Amino acid sequence: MGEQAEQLLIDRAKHGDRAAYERLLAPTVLPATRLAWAMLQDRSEAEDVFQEAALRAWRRLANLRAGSRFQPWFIGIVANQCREVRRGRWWRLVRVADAFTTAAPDESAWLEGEDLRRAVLALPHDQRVAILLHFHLDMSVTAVSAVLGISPAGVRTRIKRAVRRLRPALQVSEARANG
Amino acid sequence: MAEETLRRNLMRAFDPGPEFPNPLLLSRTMAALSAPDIAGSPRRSFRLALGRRTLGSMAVVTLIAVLVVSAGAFIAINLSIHRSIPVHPAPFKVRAQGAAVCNFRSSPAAQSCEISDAVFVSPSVGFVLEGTAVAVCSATCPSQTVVVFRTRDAGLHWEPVYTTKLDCCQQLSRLVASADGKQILVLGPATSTSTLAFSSDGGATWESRRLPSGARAASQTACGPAYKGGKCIAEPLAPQIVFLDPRHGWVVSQEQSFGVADLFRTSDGGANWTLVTKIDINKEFGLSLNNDPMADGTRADPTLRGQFVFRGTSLAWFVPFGPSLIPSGSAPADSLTLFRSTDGGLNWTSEKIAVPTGASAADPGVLTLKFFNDQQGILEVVDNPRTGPPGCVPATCGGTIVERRFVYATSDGGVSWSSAIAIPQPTYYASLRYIDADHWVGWPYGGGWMSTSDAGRHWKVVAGVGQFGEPPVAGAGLPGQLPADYPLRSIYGFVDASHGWALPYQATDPNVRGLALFFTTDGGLNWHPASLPELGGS
Repeated sequence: MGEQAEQLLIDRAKHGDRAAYERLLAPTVLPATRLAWAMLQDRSEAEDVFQEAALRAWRRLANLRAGSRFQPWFIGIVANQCREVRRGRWWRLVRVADAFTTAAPDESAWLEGEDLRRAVLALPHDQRVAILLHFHLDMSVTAVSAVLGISPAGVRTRIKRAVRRLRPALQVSEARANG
Repeated sequence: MAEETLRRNLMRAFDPGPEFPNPLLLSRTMAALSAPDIAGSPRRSFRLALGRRTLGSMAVVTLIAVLVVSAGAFIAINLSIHRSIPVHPAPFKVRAQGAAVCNFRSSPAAQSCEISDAVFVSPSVGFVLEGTAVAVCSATCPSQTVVVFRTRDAGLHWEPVYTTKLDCCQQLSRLVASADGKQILVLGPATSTSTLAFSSDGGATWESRRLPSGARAASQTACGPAYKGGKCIAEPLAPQIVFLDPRHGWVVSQEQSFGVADLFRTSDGGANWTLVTKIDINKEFGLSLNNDPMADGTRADPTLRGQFVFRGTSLAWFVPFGPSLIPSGSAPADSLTLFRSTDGGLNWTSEKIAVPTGASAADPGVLTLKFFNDQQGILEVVDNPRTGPPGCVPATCGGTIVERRFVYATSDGGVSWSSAIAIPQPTYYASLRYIDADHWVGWPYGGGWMSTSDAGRHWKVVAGVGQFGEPPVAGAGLPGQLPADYPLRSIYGFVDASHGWALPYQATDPNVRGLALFFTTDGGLNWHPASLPELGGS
């Protein structure tokens, strides 16, 4: 979607056009839900987060500054929503038990990534989001900075610190993958 | 290099797997956005220009307010927990996610769940009519529970909006809902014991309605050596009930004399019925429906069989079915006859439609007459030259003759009809659905879907066998190779050319299978399971 077309849709959505809002949302479904799933490790929870974020974004569309892109802004809302869910006491109590029942597409790959997954989930929120956006969703540093609302230099710093923390788990994961 | 390794490992470690996210997520989200408490435009941006002192004052005031409210809440909670409050357990469990089964696993067979009807008025808002299945109506059979569930997010969540207990011989089997989902009508088969339930506020409140008092089922006396052991038995002839929407309905009821049918109309969901006219069946339709014994001792079929279609207070059509198709005293038909009324059923004129080329003229039967508006409509005919009822699976009918279907179209309210369009062969259809004048879908026995977007001129297979978990059938669609008890259901429909729903199969093994609700958002190309509400609890 071109930037001009997107601005037109944003303008229409700000005036209550749901169809325009749906067209804005459509390209974000995949990255937003993948991020939420990576943050929460639960499909239903991830989809709920997307829905909640979509509702919040709809209510706060007027806060989106003129000329700003929709997707980074929306992904930022999703990231914040994930943080709120993880902070919730209910989530902390329930997720531990559910972690073993989470469906995995490929069991061996799932097990190989266990250490890395744990390490990522143990990162501070800001570093975790930066890592997942940049490496998992393949977003550029500039795009990540737009999502997080910080400078590209700040993003690089967070990524650098996170990579340092992840290095031991990454080595284990690589070793498992290579047999 | 290290970054590339990290990227690769993260991709692998955080792969959510296939079919994620749910393809319906966006449409459900948009549906949620349309909920009454969310509907409306986004809030306007505003910024408060307040000084630090003002903000500080506000904080102090807020703190005091919070303390006062907290103290009040503490007192109120203490008072309330020491008071006796009757607790009503939630009567129904509703499964949360996934391809839920309809209680087939958890309930005893006698209490198994049966879905009688499902209707969606938009891609996200729909209703299902569930009940405890009753196999045989008898004097000792238990009462049954019937529930109407509603979803507002394409099956993600369900809520019961109507619950009733019925004598096991009574039935509620059909749902009619208005386009906005606020008016809902639940009705049963057209017998004298039928009651109707009507809601005009989306299911918040319900009123019980009845059929017109004059619409009692007539009875025929069926006799003959091959009929029920040679006994003469009085059997009811049920009136026909036709509802255009939850408010506007018609009842056509035969009188005991078999020569007259009473036509009733309601415009308030069955609260009041008006006798529009008494139709002289012989005069208007040329059908002799007497109950006199024939030469061999059997009796003619005295039933006014056919389909009535009404639109508004003036336009109506009637097409006779099967053997009744042939007007009395006529030779075997070389044409179909359609009756049309422009004065609400007072007077009828007949229109002749040529039997499709290549079809047997002996016994063509009409399956569907449908009008999309006052002008456009279709007439579906089956060429079914065998003894079984139209639409039955040949393996169960003792025949191997291929059933052929044809569709006529009209764009002038049924005055003239197009040449018949043949539905592709070889196929046995559980049913065909006509979404609008151009978009039709067919559900062949053996699984899969076929669709056309140009009124049947071109068809394409849009889904293969097994889309809904049906057992693969060897030689599906070929005559004589289908299992006799192939468990197909025909509860499905389309809101528009893209959005459809289906309840495609019924369990044969309660341990492994159940009813499942599927949705499509791409005209039937892909189908996704959604949850069904589960009957349970008290």
